[in-house]
Amino acid sequence: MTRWIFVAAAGLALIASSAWLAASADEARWIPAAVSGLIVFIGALGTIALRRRSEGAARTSRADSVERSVALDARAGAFVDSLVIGVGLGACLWVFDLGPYAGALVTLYLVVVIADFWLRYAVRLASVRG
Amino acid sequence: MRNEVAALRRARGLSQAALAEALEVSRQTINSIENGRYDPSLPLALRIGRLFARPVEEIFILNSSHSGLKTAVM
Repeated sequence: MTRWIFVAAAGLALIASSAWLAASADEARWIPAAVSGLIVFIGALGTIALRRRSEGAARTSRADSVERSVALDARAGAFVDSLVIGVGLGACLWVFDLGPYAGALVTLYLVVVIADFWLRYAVRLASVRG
Repeated sequence: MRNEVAALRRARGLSQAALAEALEVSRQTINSIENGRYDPSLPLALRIGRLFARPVEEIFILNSSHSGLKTAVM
């Protein structure tokens, strides 16, 4: 529950700072941009800390736990997928001039790879549940 | 592979959570082992054997389809 409150608060703060960024004059845009970066940085650190705490309490990250085994399998599968998709993406970026869309495409690539891991993790964990 | 973990745990009056804590794994791990959906690592199997004071092969039993050994290596 704490984790979701934290994620929701970080999300709302990011939306607010993005709105501030959009409404700012050009010469003052660095302030909301820096605030947005700070929110993302603190959000990432906080998420990692909360995850470590919950993993420690439930012992899901211990070497012999089923969750760790499933996570390693999911990580291996997602890594192979990331290589395959990465080669395709690299070819696209090399062949086509995507201009400003290149950054968005790389961001999408990261989102897909992360989602791939969590999907594999959830499916495999559901299969070992009794 | 089938196992006697659930029976041994109940005989000792332990909950899955208590056994998980004693073995330093998650409760889900114990649940998955008991249901035969997850084979424990060798160190964990040895810890389970030590905890119940039983040989590992008495707790974890290979199914007939996996129990064949090639005579050449015997």
